[in-house]
Amino acid sequence: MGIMIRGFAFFFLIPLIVSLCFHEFSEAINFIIAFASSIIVAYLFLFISGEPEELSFRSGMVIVSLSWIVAMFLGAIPLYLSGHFSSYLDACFDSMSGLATVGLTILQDLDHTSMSINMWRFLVPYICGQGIAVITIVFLARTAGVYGMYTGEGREEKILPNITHTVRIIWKVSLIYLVVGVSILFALGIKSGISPFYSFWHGLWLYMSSWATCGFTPQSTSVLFYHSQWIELGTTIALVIGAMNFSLHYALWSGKRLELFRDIEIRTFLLTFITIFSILCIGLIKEGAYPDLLSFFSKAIYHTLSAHATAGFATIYSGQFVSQWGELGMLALIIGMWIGGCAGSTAGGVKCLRMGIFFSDFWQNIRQIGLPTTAVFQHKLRHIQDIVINDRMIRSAVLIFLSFTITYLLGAIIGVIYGYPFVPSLFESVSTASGTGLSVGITSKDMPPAMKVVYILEMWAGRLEFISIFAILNFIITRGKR
Amino acid sequence: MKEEVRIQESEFRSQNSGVRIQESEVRSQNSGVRIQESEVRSQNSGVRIQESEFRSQKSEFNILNSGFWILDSGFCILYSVFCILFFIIAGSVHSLCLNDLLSEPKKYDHQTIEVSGEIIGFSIKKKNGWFINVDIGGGVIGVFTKELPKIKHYGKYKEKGDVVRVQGVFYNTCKEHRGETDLHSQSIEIIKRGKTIPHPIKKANIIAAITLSFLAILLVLFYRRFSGKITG
Repeated sequence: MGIMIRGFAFFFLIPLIVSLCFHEFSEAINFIIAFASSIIVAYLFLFISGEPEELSFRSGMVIVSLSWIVAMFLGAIPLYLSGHFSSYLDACFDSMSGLATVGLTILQDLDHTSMSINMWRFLVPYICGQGIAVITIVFLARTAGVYGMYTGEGREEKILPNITHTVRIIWKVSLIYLVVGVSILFALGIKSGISPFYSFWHGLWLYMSSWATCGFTPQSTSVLFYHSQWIELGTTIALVIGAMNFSLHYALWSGKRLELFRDIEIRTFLLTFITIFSILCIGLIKEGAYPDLLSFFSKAIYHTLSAHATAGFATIYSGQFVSQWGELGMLALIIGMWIGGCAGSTAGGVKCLRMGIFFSDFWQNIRQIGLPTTAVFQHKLRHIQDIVINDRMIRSAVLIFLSFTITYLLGAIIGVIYGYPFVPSLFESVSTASGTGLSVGITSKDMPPAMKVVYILEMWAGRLEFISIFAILNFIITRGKR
Repeated sequence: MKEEVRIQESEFRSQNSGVRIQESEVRSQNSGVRIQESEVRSQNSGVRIQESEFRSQKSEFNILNSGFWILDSGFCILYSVFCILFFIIAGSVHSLCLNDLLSEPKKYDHQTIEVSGEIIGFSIKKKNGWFINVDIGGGVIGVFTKELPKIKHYGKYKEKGDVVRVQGVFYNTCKEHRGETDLHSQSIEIIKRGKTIPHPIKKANIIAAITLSFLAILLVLFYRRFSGKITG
């Protein structure tokens, strides 16, 4: 854990440099405090545990899950010291929101936030979208048994046989996309009538946020602030790419372009997108929300994609989901957030791969009904390569699906207990646990502290896809028995 | 003369002129007329009304307690008429916040309203005008204007933005701008210039930074020196 925290600490240096460049000296001091504190915590852990030669699978997962909690507390230091939060809990909320690429914020007076704090807000999801463990493996870890750390952050697939090579590929691809994405958003910013200075910085931050499917924006009115269809287009492309499986990116880069049309996840994503979009359209027509087709489709497509990819960008005010989109509109977005993006991406939610396995298995069972009981079936799916689906895979998918569902519902019940209506509570809870970040207005600094804690736990559990939490439970149970 | 005339929770609604009075109590005790819970302020010529809303559906007065007007008191009548006219004229241009607009979008949609607040971020050039974002209290709204006023300060980390008063047409879902909720300005007036916001460095933070940095360096050096011995 000490190695991971030490790796995390060095990222404070980037906003520190930004603060010095923009003469934000009070923020620079705050980042020095955060950096020094992180180094102290990291070395204290190293003193306690030492640098292990080999990690067991379970230890790797336990370390990852606990590291995220420690990272939340450390990441909250510059946020709290910036004076934009009324309590350290609020700063922790935003810190976890960034780490888990959720994008919900209770930062006050966002429009007067410094360049360096913004840099930190966007850097955290960009890094942690890939995973803290992933970056640790690339640069710092020289220990064996890092597969537990890798899977502990909700990743299961290996692009290359070696984990270290896999994560290096992930980072290479991410950095290439960063350069291309920022250049495109910069050009779109200029085209939208924004000055070159702001086009660059907002382009950089919006790209980082879109790619990480986070949903943080540098201004309080999200993407609505830019009043630009070009910025909407740029963020849409970036968030869709971010929500795609990394293995698929690698396959496409390797020249296997047909995989884009054959992959079960992409097919599932398209199917669920069309379904959700249709439900949303019915809801918006029922409410008479938009007067013309351009407005209608512009809002419906953007928000469906934003919710489904768990990005959380919005071009309407949060209150308008309730007052103008109605319950059906909200339910459509809830379904999108519930499912989420592709596995092995920066997106959250149950994931399209698992939904694809469900749909495919459901269809397979229907087909089997009319056949003799002695018939032997081999259930195959196309996901980068042909995969034979077995009971263990289905059981694992069901377990994750149920874990997400229970978390969503628990969060909604807590909201209802605190007096919020059920549908908005469910919307907010699903948005939180799936890492989306769309809000109907429940998330605010005035929210009860207990709800803030529940939402922090939801973000953490949802981002790590419960596997690490099961590992902690297993660790506690087995220790208890001894 | 000790007679009490009291109008409670009177709502004066006039839809065409788009004005509303809510929860304003006009009381006249003794020989005087008193206005409670409504604030009369002056903006241009020194007149502004806050927390009073004018409505325009039906005009209705509920006269409680006394239940009648004192017809023989010409002064009271004239004064009341003056107050109502004053509310109508001044209230028709009272500043709204974002929550007002979003909570009753149908009421304000396509209506001329007035808002005031700080200009945020930066202006955005469009084909036939500019967009500026104004924090009108409760949130930021996009204001579309054909001519950009001479803005010196935009609200950001180091600056408090210029405060403007905008009169214009509110669109809940603007056809011209792909369904955005925005305000098309008819007039923009800068009512207060922004200023630079100082961000002084706190002494306590400097001391904390130095102390923690020193501790961190010591710990790293100590670990490098003794880590092999500690971990065995």
